[in-house]
Amino acid sequence: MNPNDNDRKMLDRDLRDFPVPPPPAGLLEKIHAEIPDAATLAGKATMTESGPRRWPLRLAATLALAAVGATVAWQVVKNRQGREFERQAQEFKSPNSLDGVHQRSSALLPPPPPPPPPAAPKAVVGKAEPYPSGARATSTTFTESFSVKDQSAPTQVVQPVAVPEAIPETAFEAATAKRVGNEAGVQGGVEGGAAGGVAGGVSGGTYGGIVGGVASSAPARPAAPVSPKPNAQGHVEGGAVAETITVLGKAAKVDAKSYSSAAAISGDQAARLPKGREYDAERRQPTREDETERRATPDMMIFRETPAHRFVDSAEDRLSTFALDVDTGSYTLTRGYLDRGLLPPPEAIRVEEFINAQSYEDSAPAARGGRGDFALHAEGAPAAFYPGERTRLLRFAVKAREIDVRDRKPAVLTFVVDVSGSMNQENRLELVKRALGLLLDELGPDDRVGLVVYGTNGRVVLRHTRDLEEIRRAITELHPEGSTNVEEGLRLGYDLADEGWRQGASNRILLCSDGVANVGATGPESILARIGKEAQRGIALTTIGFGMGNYNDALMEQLADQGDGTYHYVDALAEARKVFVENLTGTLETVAKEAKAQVEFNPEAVVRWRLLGYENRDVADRDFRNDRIDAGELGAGHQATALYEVRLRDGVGGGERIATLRLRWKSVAAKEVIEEATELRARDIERVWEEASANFHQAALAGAFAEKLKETPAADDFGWRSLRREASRLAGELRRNRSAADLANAIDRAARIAGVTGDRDDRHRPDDDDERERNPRLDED
Amino acid sequence: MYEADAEPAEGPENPEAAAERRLLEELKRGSREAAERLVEATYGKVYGSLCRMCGDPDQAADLTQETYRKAWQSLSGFREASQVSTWLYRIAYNTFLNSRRRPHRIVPMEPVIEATAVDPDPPPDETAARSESNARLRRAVLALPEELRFAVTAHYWGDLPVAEIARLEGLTPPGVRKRLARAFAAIQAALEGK
Repeated sequence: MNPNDNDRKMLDRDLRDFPVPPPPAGLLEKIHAEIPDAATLAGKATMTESGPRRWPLRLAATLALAAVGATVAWQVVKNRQGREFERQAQEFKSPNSLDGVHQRSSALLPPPPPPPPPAAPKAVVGKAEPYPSGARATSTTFTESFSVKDQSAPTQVVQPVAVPEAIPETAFEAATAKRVGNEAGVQGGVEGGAAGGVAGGVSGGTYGGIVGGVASSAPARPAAPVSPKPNAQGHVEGGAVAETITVLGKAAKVDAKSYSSAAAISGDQAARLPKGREYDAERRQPTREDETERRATPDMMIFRETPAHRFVDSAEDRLSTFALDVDTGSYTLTRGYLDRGLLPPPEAIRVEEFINAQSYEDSAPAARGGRGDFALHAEGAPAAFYPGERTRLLRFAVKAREIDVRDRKPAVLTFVVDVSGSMNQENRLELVKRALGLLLDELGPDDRVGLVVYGTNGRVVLRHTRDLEEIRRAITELHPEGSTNVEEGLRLGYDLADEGWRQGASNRILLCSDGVANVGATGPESILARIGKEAQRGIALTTIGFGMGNYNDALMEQLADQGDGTYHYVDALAEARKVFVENLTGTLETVAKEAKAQVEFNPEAVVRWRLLGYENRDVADRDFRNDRIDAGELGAGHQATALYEVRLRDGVGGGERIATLRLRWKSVAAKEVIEEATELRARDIERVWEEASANFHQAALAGAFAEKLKETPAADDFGWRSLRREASRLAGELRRNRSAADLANAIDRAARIAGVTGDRDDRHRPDDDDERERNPRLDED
Repeated sequence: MYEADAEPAEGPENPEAAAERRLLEELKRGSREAAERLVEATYGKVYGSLCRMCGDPDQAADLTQETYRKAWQSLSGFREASQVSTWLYRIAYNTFLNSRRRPHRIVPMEPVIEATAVDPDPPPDETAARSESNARLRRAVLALPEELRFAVTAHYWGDLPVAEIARLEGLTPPGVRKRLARAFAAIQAALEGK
């Protein structure tokens, strides 16, 4: 016997005999106590009995607590922010040596997100293929039911309610939405299960709970078009997009505040808080109490999670419809995390924003009236990251016409600047001042700017004026003050914008904030309604987010959605330069409104398809030509790219049609609704990855990177190393493309944080490829 | 103790599999009693695998609870083709990885007490040595590339049969064995490197 075999035997034995102590006493009882009610087990939506009756009380209590908690929490967060954050970031840099790192938080985390929505009769239930083909099969069904159940309070009486049809949330990987928290378990969780069409007129309202769970269920809405002005998640096709708003919080007090802001922006969401400190105290050994306080992560970020799209069988549903989106905040925010040596939580990732944050060299249309608003591009190739012999990645891109800076319309801008205490952190306000300074540099004599600030109260600092120097002085003098009243700030901003409104100009509000917001006395719905109304009247809202550690991504994105504007996150002055200088006309001037895309796959050629990202941009297929549906706005020169992973049928080739891209939008120039289409044929699909365009490579790379961070099921098929290799190759090829270099840099940092260093395992790669060729999941049809 | 809790690896036709299927049917109808039986039959194994992965009994207990919470959530998505133990292991493994991966949860504390994970019988010095070598072995396993790590932990610490791992990973059983062999080589290299 050679010594190697002997070593192996010993290793085999050591692994097999790896010691394991008996489970601790009481564990079984704890798990038993957490077994949910029958309805949840059976996968039905549930509603706590206490929910509907008590929710106003709970909501009121939450809001009250929020106000009290806010001040204290800020202080705490502020004090602990810098040093602790740094230290933790440092410690995380060696993730492979975690044996010395103790984690205790999981049991203290709030219960997981809502259980899967109930099953639709026609849909495939209980078969959790990685990409269940039935997932969108019955796309005409809406559901507004959801379930948020506090499993830490098993004694609560829960009873099932009648629920409408819904699409099952099958794959358990996807169903277990990730929760991210900190050690103390005092993380705040605001989760809402919201399903399609919930936005707009919601009858369910908002339910909140501080202690114990509150669940709610809005009555079923029959399959009907969504309301005229739903927000982003309002036009969810096929229901079943369970959303989770995650608050990464420090303390229960903070949670209460975060909760109120999150709930504020999502009146359609059921929301609840975990038991916070009480829950914590039950579980944790007392000796850990002060330790926890010292170590708690200062993060209090608010995100809204939407599970990734899954494969759809094209025989069952050949249409993919979504609102275009050119936001990039998720990508920039991720960069902010990576700068601090952290991976972003999966719920912070919106794949399409990664893809759209890249600059591509797709040609823009020649300006010829409204018809020339967009150039449509379609291409395909085998994707480097998604295995399978007949798997292809398709890229559909639209590029809006460019407007020369000299030709842009005069702008009437209203800056609404958050000067609350939280803006004092990390010099956020200073960054805002410098960013707005960059913008002022670009403005001309025809532009007017007004300034509103808000802290505890909002106030108009300066009415619209052409005197940009006056504005500049006013901005320079801003200083942080008081708590946060975003509602009053926005209301004043809109009042001022109304006052300064000019026909034929680009009327726009720029909200600069960390999104950390309390709720004004009148409640959130009124300000959201106002934003929507003003958007229809022609005052757009662009949100620009600042700050890490506590940042409300969900709010900033939703406000921009509602306000027909774009959402940017500025992590550094360079990003501000991109938004305000390089892309000024895109930021200020809208070319197309309510832009929607529909991709129709040819079932003869495509077995199944999966859209990367755009999860909260779904539009019902039948609403593609419904021009009252709120969709996406694109500014001059903006581009939007959608990637699909598809599986082709055998023998597809030649001129056979693979898919058709249709684009429909309200042209600002032509003042009419325009629809254009382009086809992708089999011969347009490259045979090998290398032959695809650099644009294609870059989009695919950005999409795959986002999927990796979002931990979508597809991301299991590729590793950090392959991402990094491709990124560095591409950055070398596209030397003049700063976004490619930036992407490569981000991927490299993320890979390091994920514990992947060097290429020492690359010798295994060829083997992996062999194995994948035999992968039955990929070869079955 | 651990082995006693382990479920035998079986083909689809044997009585255990049939019992498992009945249990699942009851579960999906919402039977709490069935859920309790499931927990009793499996929690030792789930806890054991988590304990071996994270090396800390307290954390393993926490993660075990979280695993079941996730399990209840994803019950309706459970694949009938899969064994319950496989399904639970997969959730436990993901739960463990997530707890490790996400910076927000990672909080430095006192060094993990390996001794608690060791048979109390051996004399103290031997205990210490074994605990040290176990810790090194664990580090080596956890440092493996993901596909190798999954195969090793699932096979040795989750007690999943090769056929089940193959099904989960979309491989053939020889493909899994190949991975295990590669993992062994990598683990040995890592251990010798120390």
